[in-house]
Amino acid sequence: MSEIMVLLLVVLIAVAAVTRETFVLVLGYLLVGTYLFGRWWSHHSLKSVKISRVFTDHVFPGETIPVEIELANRSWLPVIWLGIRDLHPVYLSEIRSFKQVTSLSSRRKQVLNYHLKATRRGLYSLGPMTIETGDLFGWIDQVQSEFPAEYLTVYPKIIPLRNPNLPSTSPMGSLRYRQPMFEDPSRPVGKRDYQPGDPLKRVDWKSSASSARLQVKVFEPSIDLEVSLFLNMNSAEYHGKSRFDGPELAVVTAASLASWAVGNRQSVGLVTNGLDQLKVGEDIQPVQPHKGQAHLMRMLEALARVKSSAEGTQPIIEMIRRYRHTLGWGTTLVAITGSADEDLMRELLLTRKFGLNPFLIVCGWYVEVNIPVQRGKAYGVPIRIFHSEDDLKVWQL
Amino acid sequence: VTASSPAPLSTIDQSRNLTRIVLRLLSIAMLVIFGIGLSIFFGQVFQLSFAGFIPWVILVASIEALVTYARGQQIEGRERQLFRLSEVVTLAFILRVVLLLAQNFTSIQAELAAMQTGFLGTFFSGKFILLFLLGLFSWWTTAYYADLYDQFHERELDVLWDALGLVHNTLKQIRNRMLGVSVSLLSVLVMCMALASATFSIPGVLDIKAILKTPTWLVTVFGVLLLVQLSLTQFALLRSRWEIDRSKVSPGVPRQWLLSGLILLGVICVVAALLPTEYSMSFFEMVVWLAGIIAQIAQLIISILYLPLFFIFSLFSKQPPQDLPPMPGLEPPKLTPPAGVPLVLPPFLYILRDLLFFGGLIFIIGFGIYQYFSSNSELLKRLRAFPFFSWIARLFHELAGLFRAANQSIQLQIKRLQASGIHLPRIKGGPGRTSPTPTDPREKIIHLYTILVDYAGQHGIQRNHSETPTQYEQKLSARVPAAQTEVTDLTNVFIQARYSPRIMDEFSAKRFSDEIGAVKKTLDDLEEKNNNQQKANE
Repeated sequence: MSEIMVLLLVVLIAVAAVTRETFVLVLGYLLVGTYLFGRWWSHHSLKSVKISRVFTDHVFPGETIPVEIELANRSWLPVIWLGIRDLHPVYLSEIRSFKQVTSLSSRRKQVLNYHLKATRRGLYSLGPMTIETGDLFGWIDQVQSEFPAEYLTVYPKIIPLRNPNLPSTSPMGSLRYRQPMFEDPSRPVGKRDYQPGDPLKRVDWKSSASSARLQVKVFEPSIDLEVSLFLNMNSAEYHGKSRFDGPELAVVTAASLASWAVGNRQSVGLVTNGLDQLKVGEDIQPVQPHKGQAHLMRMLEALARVKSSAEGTQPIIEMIRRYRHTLGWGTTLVAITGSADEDLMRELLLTRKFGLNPFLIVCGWYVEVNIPVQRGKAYGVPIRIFHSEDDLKVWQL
Repeated sequence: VTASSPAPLSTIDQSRNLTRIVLRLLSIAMLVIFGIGLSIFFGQVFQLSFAGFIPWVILVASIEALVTYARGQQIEGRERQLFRLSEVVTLAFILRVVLLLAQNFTSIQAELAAMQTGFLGTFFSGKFILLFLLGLFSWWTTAYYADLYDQFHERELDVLWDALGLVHNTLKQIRNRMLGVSVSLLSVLVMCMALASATFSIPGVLDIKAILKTPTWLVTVFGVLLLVQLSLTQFALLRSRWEIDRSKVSPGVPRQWLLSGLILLGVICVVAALLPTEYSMSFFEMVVWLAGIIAQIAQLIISILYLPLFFIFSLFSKQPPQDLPPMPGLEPPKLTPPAGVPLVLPPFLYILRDLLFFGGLIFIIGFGIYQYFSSNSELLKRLRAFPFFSWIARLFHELAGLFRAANQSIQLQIKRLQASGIHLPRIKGGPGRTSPTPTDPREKIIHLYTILVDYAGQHGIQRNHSETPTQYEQKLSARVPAAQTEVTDLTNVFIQARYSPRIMDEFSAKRFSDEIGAVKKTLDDLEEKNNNQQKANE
């Protein structure tokens, strides 16, 4: 189309230049003016529109995420039409993109809304958003610009736990324990009559004087639990039929344990061989054991981003060998994986000799029960088998 | 996904129907304006008294075509042809009756009497035939427009099931056909207006003086209507794209489109009306003046070049020296201001203004031609095949070949001179050799090798462009056998640096530099030895 008009313009202007006819010149001005102004207006509109995407970038599964696209026309000229296309992953919505055509008056703002649903953990990119506009007459093709993608982190699901009974050999912590060998002198719970063998330093002299019998203080046993979660995201080490659900269940287990530990003011750390969705080809950096809610959020963020893979990830045995030296004495090493083979059991047994407390959790729908349990007994490593998220409820009792 | 303000489906349908109605009205308006232009043309050029009827005939024929178009589409085959024939006959009859009634009573009586004696000759008078043909033309054009609009509308509805590309291409084709008709009408209108305001004088045959100034509004309004048609069809194209793309369209978009379009056209019309249209020089006068300036400058340069020769020859002449040839002067062009417009500013300002105007025009024309040919490469190919252009292209090709041959010949002579031991002065600052000393080892090695080749070239060992580094190594080694090891090593390192991805370190670059120094020294020694030997021989 524009070729016809350009040719007409050329002819008109040539005729005008030769004949000096006023009407031809005016017509030429009109057509040239609309062409040049229309062309300039399109580019100007695109430059003068300020776009921002507003949304909560960290959410938990099941939450609905309202996304607002704020458009602001900073120019005195209106934007005749503006086509917006914002892409998002299929896990967040049934429709893979948000598409709307709108117009903006001069110096006006407009907010477009759409909603996404966080169905599963992960790191998702919203965008890139394509913005396009054009002129009134079709002189030129549509002009486009791109608004960069932004990331949305969906944390893994957390199942609230009550008592996972993780082993510990660190006495005197903030965690109540049943075995009396870890009595904590800072937690007196009562008094009893003296028995032969009780150390004299436990005698409560005031009570003894008032009761005319020797009384000793009774302390509540407590332990300090420092947990390091070793999460295996090498899908090749899961059962053949559990290569997708197994690692996901392992992530949920790790997140739930981390949440429980932080909730009980214990230190928790994370080591995983999974790949980082944010940095392609790189592993998730280990998270050193710490306490506190902020630390938990950091761990959850890492668990949201971690990706399982059959290739490019080191086996869990290598991971344990590499990082067990960095753990403090008495740390509970929780290995969350998809199988309990002899090599792994031997490695966990070895960690015990390093002064750590190994604990094995095997995840996956198709995991056999008997063999891992027997191996656990044989090697003296406590073991838990989870087929689904429902199995985690045993720790809610 | 849910949008905040989705457009109800009926809005698109309403917008579509409205577009169709407005487009039909536009076509009638364009034809009426075209008719007014024709009436001015026939009234001015052929002095036809009944020219004022033309717009009315066109209006009536267009409305009739539009009203009966839907009925005509409903019927098929023979019945349709008969329906169309009856329309034509009715139109002819009504036109004849109107022409009859438009006269005074005496003329009506005379014409009725003439019809009784010779019906056909009187009925089909020249006046009637012209008006009838124009009426038929407008009737056909309106029907064609209506058909295109209907096709456009139907193809727009196909977006619900057809592929986007297919629908879009078809819509664009239909739109181009519409524009083709409109642009043709505009072109004819412009031609007619230009002819109507021109002065014709063929002695004894035709003598028409331009007494009427063509109304500018006529062509401007037609142009505006054409732009409105463009805008509406562009919106329809976009609308179909949005619909097939399942995009939500805000209800404000059509309103904004309409408002912005009207404001834009209004502003452009005002600006176009305010821009200057009267110029002191015509385009050709300006071109001739510019060509004159160039010729005068050339003459001036030739005169300056001629002066030394003139003085030298005057020294050998026994006759007294003649006066110097006159220096050419630059004269401003003659201004021909429009009638009744006195020149109030200095003439150079008018010239400057006209230069700017025509410069802008030439730029726009050039830009338009560039745009046109860049989007029509096939046309360019055909144009190249045209004998005149192919001859021009061949001429330029031959000239380029001539210059190339001359350049090669000069280069050959330079090489011969250099080979014979004459050192030509090197022009410093040549491209590619003056870059600052590179810091990267790889670049440093390549740079040093280039210096070596230059240095050896100055010592009579030139490297041909076709020679590979290995070939040049053999040549250099043969001439400088004392530095054969260094030359081989230098060539190998250069090949690695230039053609392999191997990482070059500073140590290699340093070693390379040292070896270059050694080869240079050997070259200098060789040259000194040759000079001494030459002196001894002398």
